[in-house]
Amino acid sequence: MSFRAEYETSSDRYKRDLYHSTYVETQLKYIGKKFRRVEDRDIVRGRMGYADDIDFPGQHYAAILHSPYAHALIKSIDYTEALNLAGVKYVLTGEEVARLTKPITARAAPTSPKTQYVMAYRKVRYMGEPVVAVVAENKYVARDALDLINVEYERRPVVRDLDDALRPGAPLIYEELGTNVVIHDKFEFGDVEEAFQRADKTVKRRIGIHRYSSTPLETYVVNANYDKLRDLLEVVATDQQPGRTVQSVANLLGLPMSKIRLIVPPMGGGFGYKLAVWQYIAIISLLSMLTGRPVKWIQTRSESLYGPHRPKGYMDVELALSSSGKVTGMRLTDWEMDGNWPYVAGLYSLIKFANMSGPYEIPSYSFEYYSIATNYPPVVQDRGVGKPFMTFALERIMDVAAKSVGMDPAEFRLRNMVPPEKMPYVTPSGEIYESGNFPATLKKALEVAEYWKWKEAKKGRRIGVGISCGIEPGTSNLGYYYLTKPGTPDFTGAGEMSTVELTPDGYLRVNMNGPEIGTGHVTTLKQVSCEIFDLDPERVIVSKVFDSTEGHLGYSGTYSNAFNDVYIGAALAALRQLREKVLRLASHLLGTEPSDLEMRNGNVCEKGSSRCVELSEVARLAYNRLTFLPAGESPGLRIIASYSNTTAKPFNRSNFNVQLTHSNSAHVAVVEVDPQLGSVKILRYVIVHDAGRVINPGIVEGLAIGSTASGIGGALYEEFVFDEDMNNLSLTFGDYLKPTAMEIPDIEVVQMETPAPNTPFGTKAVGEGGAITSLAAVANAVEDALTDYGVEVTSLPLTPERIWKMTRGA
Amino acid sequence: MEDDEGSLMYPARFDYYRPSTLNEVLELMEEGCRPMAGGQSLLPMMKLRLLTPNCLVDLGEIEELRGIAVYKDTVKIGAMVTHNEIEESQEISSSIPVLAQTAANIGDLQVRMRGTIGGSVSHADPSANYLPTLLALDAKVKLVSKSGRRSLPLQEFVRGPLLTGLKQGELVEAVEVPIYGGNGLIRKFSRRKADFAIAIVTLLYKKEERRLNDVRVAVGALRTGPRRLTKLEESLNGRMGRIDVSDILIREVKSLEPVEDLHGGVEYRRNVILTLITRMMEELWR
Repeated sequence: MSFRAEYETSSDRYKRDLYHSTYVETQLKYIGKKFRRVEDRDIVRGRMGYADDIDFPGQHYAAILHSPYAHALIKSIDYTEALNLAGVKYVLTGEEVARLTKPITARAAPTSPKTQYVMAYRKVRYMGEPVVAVVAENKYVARDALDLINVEYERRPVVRDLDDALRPGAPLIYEELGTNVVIHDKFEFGDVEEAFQRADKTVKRRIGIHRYSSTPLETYVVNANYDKLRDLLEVVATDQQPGRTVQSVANLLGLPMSKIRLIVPPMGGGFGYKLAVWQYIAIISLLSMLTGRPVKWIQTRSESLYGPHRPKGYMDVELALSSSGKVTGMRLTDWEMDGNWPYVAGLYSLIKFANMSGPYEIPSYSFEYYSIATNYPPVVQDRGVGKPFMTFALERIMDVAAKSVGMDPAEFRLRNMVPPEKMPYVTPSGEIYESGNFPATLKKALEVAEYWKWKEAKKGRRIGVGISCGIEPGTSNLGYYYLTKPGTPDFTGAGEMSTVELTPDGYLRVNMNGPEIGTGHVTTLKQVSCEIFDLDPERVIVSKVFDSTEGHLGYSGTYSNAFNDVYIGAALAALRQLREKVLRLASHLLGTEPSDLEMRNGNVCEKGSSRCVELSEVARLAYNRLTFLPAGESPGLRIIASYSNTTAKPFNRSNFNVQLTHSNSAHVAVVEVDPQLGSVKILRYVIVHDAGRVINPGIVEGLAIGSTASGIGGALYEEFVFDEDMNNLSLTFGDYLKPTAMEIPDIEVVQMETPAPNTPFGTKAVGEGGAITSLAAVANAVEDALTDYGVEVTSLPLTPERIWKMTRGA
Repeated sequence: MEDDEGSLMYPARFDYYRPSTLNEVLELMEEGCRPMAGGQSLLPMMKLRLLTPNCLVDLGEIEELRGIAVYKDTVKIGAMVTHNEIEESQEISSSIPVLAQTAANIGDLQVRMRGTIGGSVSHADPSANYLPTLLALDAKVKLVSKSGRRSLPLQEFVRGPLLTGLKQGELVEAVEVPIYGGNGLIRKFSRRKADFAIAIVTLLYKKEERRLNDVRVAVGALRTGPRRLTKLEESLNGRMGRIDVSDILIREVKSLEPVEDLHGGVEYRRNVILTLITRMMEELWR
């Protein structure tokens, strides 16, 4: 296959010139080590410098009044009293927003709704939608003012669920579309009909996913300051995708991008939740421009629970099976309830689709999807985006299929996995699994978890064992949302830009210029920098702040598990160039050829000799002794470089790759269920995780455990519950239950390393794997424990009351 | 929900006092000030503006509300004694261990470090841990106001969810708990370790020459306030060997009115109560 050759070439190249020496054979000092996170000392002492720690002089505050109804027309808004309250500066309503900004447009829908603005305009479509915003001298007065605003609503019938949305005469979320089906599309690869006709057996289930969401400790914070003097909008915000936010805010507000400066300080968690803050950046920026004051808004916990969330949805999953236990075809119909928001409608479906065959070799498949507008709150690309649901559905149906052909679920999976010798493997739709040994991962997990022993121990106890094997893709090849929509994507590929600098006093300053969301980027980049420059970590300064004026690419941000591909790639490109220049200057100072020089503990030295020059001396030449520079060398030691992963393909409906790296893992959960109480106790939880080459095994282990905790939350605890009128009943952490340290078991992580041939160090995606793979592990284990009751798990969360009802046949 | 006041977590304006004598507290309360003990329920409710008191009086400096005193037949626990202090008190562990166990199962460590027994009973959350235990122990709630002192048995003090017999200007001063010379068990089932109970049961029993005596079964997390299962108690008192009381138990549990929320409906909660009691009774026959 042609790209296999390409891969080998790029892999060879990587071996050859990581820093113009044979990197792989070099004794690694920093990479692959459990380096302690340098961020933590600041975090635990409250010195990280989060967005809310930053004030502009004359700081004002905003508070937002949210819709109490899920679907209503706004008949009138009376805010006279609020405006008269001492300290209140401005009151903004949707009428003014509609005059001053453009509506939000759909990314994937062929026809975009035209009436959705960043604040509700004449109609509210979910409980919690911003209706009025107030600016005041302090946050208490701003909050008090909300009580003085009188909004008259005319309630409309709500759209709750699939049947509700699709029935003739259903209330419409967007009248201008004439339907609640925002997107409907179908793809087919291979001869699916034939696979099903020839199948010895078929299995089919409708599997559902509920609304749940990551809930970062730090909520949204936006602080906007429109500087009239310099005609510059300066915004400090918690934003995971600031590159795109600058574009969308510029577009919404009708400002040139070049007159917006977006600064993202380190964040207290992102998880995808912070991909939707741009809506609020637009509102708060508008308030700052209208009042001439810096305006800060700090989202409260309850506001954060209004949304956005992951979407609720259903999938009809169908497998064609041979009598020997091979999956020969797959059909998927996906019903995604995208809330009311056009913006990311369809994204979850398309990402699911690209990963629908998981770690298995399925020769033909089809995928049909519907994106449905409802009165649910907006959707955001929460941790794993669609892959958790996809893996839950696939790994559930694999258990159902194994049972139907009378095979053990582990054996059935092993029989269908892509064998390592077929790597790189291309799925029927074109996703490229660049490397991996899926069967080895599962076999190791079975061994570590003592799978067969537990299967025996089951007898007489309600113990269940669940397996789930998942692909954890990373680095989004953006633009896939144009698969359904005509036109040219506004962005394709995946890449980042980075700046590195050897300072005049010989420190190495590294700016990946991306948001730090708590996942150890500073530490990881420090390790990489130290490795390339053989420098004491104390002499490496890694920035933890994104600043849009420092240079970035169109969709720059920390999302889609891309850090250790694109950020490392960009930083490495810059570090390499800087290293070359430093060697050239040192060569000038030492009179030795650059190829005979090496970095040695803060010096540049002649190989095999003690003749060295300190980095600070090289810096002095570059910054101060300009007349002594070698001919043709420019002064200074500052490099801006960029990187993009070259395996991204342009989009074509018959062949495309949505993501560019593919980690994989096998989870084995052992649970004991108490059918009388409905409770689930996790007795053992094992993860075997292959994320390619690992830069910091401690951080990777933490991410595997943390993401699994989030999946366990989704499987057993977390759910946004809505009543008949689509009121969100889960607006505090007393009602929206996150699992705590008391609920999460001791998770054992074993790491395997199958390097990726298409990333700088062979690294792959890390950070979402557990969220993707754990739902089915828990669900399969619970079903296994309740075999006697004949129950089948097709939806989550498995709350005690639900389990109790299931065991009673309800 | 009629409006979304719950979404913005800044309390409304209020005055705050932290006097050093009980008299000043009572005077401020007379003027309409609301007392604050550990603040573990009050402050979240104020942030959600479910409560908007104009004035708070902090009881933190009032030493006489802090002590644990052991008398011959009773233990008197000051209103400001924290759950953690009850959990760790030698006096309580040796005289009424089930009360220490009850406190140990409240919320999480932060809540137990700040929350107080006086605050808990005054708030009267129907699912609070103390209620069934205090009911089973025949505890009394001691009240004080400018016009004097009085004492109410727990079942008269707690009148329903968040509803007590406190009058305007009246403060819980202490909880008086008779010493029970038998065994005590508490079982709480909750979604997460630190959550309010889905169901909670306190069981007290004495065994004299293998004969059950003075059995008390109290159930919490009910809309009615905690309840004793008197028919079950009667059928157990005086028994020597294992007997099947499941019919009586099922009938009595059926008459209970559990609170109902997202985490469990009435029928499910009755089932949990039944399951907990059935399992606790196994201890009786040991």
